[in-house]
Amino acid sequence: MHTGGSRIGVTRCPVHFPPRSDPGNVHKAVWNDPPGRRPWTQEVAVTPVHFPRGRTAKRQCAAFALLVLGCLSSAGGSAAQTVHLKLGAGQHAEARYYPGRGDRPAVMLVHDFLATAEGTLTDTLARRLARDGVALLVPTLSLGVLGRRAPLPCEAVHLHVFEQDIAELRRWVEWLLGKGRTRIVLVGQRFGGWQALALAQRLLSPALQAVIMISPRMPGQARDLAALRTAAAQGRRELVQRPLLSCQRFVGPADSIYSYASWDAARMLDALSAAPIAVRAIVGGRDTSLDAAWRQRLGDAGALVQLVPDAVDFRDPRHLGALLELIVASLMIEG
Amino acid sequence: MRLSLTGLIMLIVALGVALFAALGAYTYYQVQSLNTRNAEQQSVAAQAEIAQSVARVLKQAGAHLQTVAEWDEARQQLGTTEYYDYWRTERLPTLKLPNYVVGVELYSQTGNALAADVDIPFTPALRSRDRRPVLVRENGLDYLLLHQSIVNPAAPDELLGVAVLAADLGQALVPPGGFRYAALDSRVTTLPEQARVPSSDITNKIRFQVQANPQVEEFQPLMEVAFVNIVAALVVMLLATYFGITALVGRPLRQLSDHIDELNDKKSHGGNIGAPLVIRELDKVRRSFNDYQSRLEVVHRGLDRKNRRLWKLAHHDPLTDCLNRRAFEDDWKHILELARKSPAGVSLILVDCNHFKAINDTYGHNVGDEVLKGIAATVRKNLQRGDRLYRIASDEFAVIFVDVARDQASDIAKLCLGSIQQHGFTHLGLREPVRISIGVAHSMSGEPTDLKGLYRRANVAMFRAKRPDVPPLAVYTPDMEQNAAVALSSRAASAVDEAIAHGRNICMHYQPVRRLSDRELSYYEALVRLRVDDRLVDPDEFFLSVDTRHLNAELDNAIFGTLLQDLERGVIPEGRGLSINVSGASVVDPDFEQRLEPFTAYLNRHSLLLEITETTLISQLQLASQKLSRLRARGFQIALDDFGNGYSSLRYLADMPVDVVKFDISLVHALCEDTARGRLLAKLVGLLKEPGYKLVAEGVDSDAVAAVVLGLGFDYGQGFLLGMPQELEEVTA
Repeated sequence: MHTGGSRIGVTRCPVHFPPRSDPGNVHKAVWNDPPGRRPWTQEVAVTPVHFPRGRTAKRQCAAFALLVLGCLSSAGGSAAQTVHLKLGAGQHAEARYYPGRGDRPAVMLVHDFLATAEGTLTDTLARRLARDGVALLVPTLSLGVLGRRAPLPCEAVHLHVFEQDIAELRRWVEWLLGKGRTRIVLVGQRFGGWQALALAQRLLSPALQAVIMISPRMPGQARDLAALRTAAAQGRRELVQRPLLSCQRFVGPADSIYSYASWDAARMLDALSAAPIAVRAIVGGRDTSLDAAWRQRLGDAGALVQLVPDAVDFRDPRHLGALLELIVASLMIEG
Repeated sequence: MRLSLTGLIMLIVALGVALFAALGAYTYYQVQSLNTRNAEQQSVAAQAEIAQSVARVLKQAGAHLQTVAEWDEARQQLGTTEYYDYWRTERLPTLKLPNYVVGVELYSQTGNALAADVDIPFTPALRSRDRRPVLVRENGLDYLLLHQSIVNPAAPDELLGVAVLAADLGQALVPPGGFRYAALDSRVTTLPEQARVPSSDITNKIRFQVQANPQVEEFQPLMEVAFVNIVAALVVMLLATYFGITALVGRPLRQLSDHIDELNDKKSHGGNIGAPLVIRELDKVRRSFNDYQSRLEVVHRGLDRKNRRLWKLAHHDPLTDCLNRRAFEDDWKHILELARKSPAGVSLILVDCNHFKAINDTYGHNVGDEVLKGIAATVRKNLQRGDRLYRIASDEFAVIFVDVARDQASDIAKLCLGSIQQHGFTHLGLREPVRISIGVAHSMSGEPTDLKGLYRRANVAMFRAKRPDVPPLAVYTPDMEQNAAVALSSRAASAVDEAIAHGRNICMHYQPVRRLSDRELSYYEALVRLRVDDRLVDPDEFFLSVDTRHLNAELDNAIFGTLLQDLERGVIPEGRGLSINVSGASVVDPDFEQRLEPFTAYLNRHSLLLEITETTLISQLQLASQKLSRLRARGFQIALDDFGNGYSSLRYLADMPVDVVKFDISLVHALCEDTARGRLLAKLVGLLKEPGYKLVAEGVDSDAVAAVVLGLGFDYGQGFLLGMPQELEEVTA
């Protein structure tokens, strides 16, 4: 247990806000109001890695109270339920559902590209949030595989397309809504964040409160995107291998590859700019795929970028607590 | 049974070899039994190993197939078969299935293969819903086919399809580390082509051989090497033991034994055993033996000296410095052997001193001893170096000549005789010459039978030489045997012995002695005769045997007994006298008077006359005179027999108590001649009559003789004219 101020503890440590006079730890994020919504620009102090002494007792107590509340509230809502969702044509999807408490928005946690709800960070995040009493739905995208339970390798035959994923996520949101959840925050890891953003754009439900993107990396430049588009348009079914997102060798027919490859940086930033709800981006300071320029562009596109300076992708337990703090804080804010 | 040390060592070595051979055979038998048991266990273990391997394959392959069946991408392929080939070739290998898996195929829930073309042993369609593993044989290979249903994870009852895994049985059965006990045949199963066997029967269909146990395989040569090493070590050990024991124990003991053998063979009389021995105990024995040997040598030398002294005492006559009779007898035992190597033959000379006893008795033992010493020295002077002179009896000497011719021996004997005759013994006080008799016998042939009789022949010759009418040296000739038979008659000797020992064979004859004046029977002279098988033995014959063997006293004693019996029977008429001949030896015998004691009972009825033979020199004349005086005092009369035919007759008359003098027949006949000798004897008769001696004339065999002797003054006469000797009954008649 860390009692000093050198690092953020992984447990219920209070959130320490850096003093405003420390410009080095302050990142400005501008939420551009979507059309028809109140534009607002919020400067948020993010959790520092290193904290100087002399922070105010008031802030410390507030953060501590926040975490204590979270800890106490986790006792009753951490039991997971496996829920299935029929998708038609013999397909169905599976998700874990933590009912949580009803006083805060429910969270739908979207895993990374080709991953599952059992992914390390997703699973850990889900368990920790559920333990904090957060109502949580963690679906595993079927990716066209019946009862998929394992990450689908890049080299596997990929028949799924981006829009199917969004549709599947939409079904899950609707499932949540069916559960009486009126406030939903979408949290997506990496590419799951963009899929959550896309879902928000398409769903346009008032229940959706915000989108939190964890490590929303900038995609690489897709090769032969035009050719893929053409092939997809022609309905060609032969398998194609292309680098895609984190895959060096993604195998699938052209429409599948194109559906994901078309989500390039520009499209992502456009989607971000057009986001109908607040979007937060939590990034690690050492995440090389999230360099300062990309963070700037994210902020410029309207996301509230929250930086955890020494973190990379938050798999490291030392930075998981900071991530949780930021998510919980967001939920409280949204709630 | 006795063993030599080498034999004992060899026996021990042989026993060691035999023991090892037995142990080796036992070990070999045990190893073979172990191998048999091991082979049986190997077989059982191999069977179990095959069964385990089958179970393992089923389990492992089943697990792998389960992985496939639960694989998301497998379900994906069941949903969309469009990219099944890609999946089968690209995706399926990512599962890293074992090498023995020759393939995995997916079948739809209706049993149709997703692949357009399926390889052996897969079938285009699953006809059976039996999902148990089966063993199939296709194209000469044995495959294990496992089936696994693929279901909807969300609805396990919902069958999506079937995954089938084909495994190369031969490859699959071999465990990663290989079989330990079993070895699969090249043809793994006994199945016929295209046969299908359920999993429960797979084990029974597998062909295998029992693999040789590597430990046993390793053990066998190790055992052989160990056995060879042990044999080599044993051989070395046995050889080392053999040579060690031989060198350290055997050789010293053999040395000791050889030394003892040499001592036993008298090749050596002592000496120590060499250098110190390595074995302490043996060295102690050696030292003890040496000490003992040294002491034994001292004792041996002492004993040797004593033996030589004893031998000399036993074989030497201290008086004459000659070899004695024992030496003679010992040497005689070797004479047969010597005779064979002596081409000239063997000669034996016997030298006998005549009347030595008389000399001894007359002049005393000292003079007799000096006579013997003189004879021995004289004979020795005539012998060459190496000739051996023996004294084989009191007055008898013998010389053995080996490889000496008869004539040469005879010449030596003559030299000896001449030397003795010239020697003269007057310095010893002898008034008579010492007469010797020499008998010579020679054995030319050297034959044992001839040699055995050599002594007898020499004796015959010597007795021949003793006769008064022949030269005192006689060389044996066969014609001497007749006379010798008398002296050496075994019949006479036996008769004498029987008479002496048991009083048998004695047959007394009595010759009357009459008064010359009126021819009246005065008394009888008892004359002894010996009867054997109703035949009388010639008196000359048995008397010669008695004299030769010096049995006079013993025979007299036997005669006394017979005479007493005759007196008791009263065969002698009362009032008639009895004359009893007594030898000089009897007179000096200590029991002489006692033996005559029983006759005193008859003195009142008979006058008893003891005739002392004058020809016999009476030794210890004084003692004899005393005894005769005492007998005379008790009533016996003493007569001097054969007067004029012996030694010192007058001396006897002077020194002994004599009542009657009997003139020898030769003197009586001389009296009848008108010669100087006759006249001298007539004077002598007159001289004897003067002191009062009764005179008896022997040889009165005619009236003329009777008249002469009567005229000269003789009182009694005895002869054929007056009466022949007769047996007792005839006398009384």
